[in-house]
Amino acid sequence: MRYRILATGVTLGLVALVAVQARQTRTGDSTAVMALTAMDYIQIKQLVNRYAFALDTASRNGYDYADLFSRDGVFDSNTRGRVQGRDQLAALARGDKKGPLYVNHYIMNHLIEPTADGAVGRQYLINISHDQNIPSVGPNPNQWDLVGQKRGSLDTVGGHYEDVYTKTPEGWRFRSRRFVPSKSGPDPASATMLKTYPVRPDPTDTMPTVPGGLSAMDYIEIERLVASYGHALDSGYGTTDNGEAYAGLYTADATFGQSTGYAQLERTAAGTAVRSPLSDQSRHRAVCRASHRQTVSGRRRHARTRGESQRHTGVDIPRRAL
Amino acid sequence: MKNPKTNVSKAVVATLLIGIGAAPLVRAQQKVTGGLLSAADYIEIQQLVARYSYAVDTHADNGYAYADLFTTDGTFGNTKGREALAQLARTTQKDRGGPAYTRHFLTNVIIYPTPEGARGSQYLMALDVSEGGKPSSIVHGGRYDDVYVKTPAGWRFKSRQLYPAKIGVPPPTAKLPPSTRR
Repeated sequence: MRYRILATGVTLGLVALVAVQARQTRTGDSTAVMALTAMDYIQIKQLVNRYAFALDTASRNGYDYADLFSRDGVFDSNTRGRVQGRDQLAALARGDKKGPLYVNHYIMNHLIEPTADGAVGRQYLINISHDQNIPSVGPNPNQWDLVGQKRGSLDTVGGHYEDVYTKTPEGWRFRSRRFVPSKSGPDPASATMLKTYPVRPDPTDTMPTVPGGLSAMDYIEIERLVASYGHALDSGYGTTDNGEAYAGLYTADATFGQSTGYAQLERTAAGTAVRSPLSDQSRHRAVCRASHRQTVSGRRRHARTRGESQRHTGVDIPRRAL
Repeated sequence: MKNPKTNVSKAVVATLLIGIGAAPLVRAQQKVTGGLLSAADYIEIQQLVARYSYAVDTHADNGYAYADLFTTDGTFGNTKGREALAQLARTTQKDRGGPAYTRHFLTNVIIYPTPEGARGSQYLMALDVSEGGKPSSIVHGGRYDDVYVKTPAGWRFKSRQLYPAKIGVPPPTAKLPPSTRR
């Protein structure tokens, strides 16, 4: 009797095992790709953003860079070859060290494709060399041209990265990252376009996973706030209402550089110590106009009378983060 | 000691109640913070925008990778429809392109909801990246203004217009993005 129970148990166990395996195989076939949540995309994008900061500053002696990779992570490029291992990766970052204010890697166009065990991705890279040892000319410090020299120029290094990401207990990491220099013509290794998949809805879209943390939507809104900066400052999102659009990105007690609050911002931007006895609303506009004198379009706008500027304030201008 | 069975059923009931209670909360929060777009929508549109550069620079799929980023009646500038868009992608930079070619660098990606779907803008920096040791250069730049529509196949460009960068005050090109939080 006891053997019969045992035999039945074993048989049932085996049947269950086979069933589970069959199911795993099926799911493996039909859902080879694990759809990613918005938070996954955001964290992978943050990983890539951190890459530029970690490499250019070589912070924590290069280990901030090394720790963006998984334990077995590999970096591979035409100039550096294949680099693997935490100490080796840290040494790579240290080799590039130009100091905590060094800025060189400009990374854009981040494409991400979910895979069965993580994700793959690509971005464009252009390196820009900034040389503060070349003196600026003219009253405008942004004027870089000096005879035969420039304070900033595009490097010869540009192209794209090809990544494999893996989700570790510490978060998303590079399992491999390869740099491919830009070139015309065939390149079999980069030949396939990445595929797109729908993003999987998740509670973290609107609710942070940890108390005081950020939801995916928070990241998206902050990202948009930052991305709005150029649009607002340069053209007012293409409406020419740049003054108000720009100021609308700030809180009333905001800080830009040394200036805190609209009054200081106004003074600094206008380059004058004269305080304007304006109402909050008008001062708000005046500050916006003043800050735009720093830009080319702003300088042109400066020539306009206040009355003209106010004609444009009827537009629905965002006062909060965009 | 209480009956553990009762505890279990209590836990089940509590979980169910919390679940039922939380569902409308989640929806309400999405409504407030997301406007008309969910987090997934934003990410999918960002990915669409990123794909644009790869599609146009690689000339993938004989230009159809580019064309298929648009709706069937989609427009880029004055070019409309799948065939015309594929033709445009095939012939633009005819001799410069391929799977490792990078030219269209996009940044400052903003997306905002509209009643029809979404609109957005980015900055373009078209680069002639060094080949064979010569210096890289900026060929041109400007701003894309887009209208996106969600199709059964995902988000697509309904229209995309490039405004080359200009100094001065041309007529307005875009509507200000409305705030998502009201």
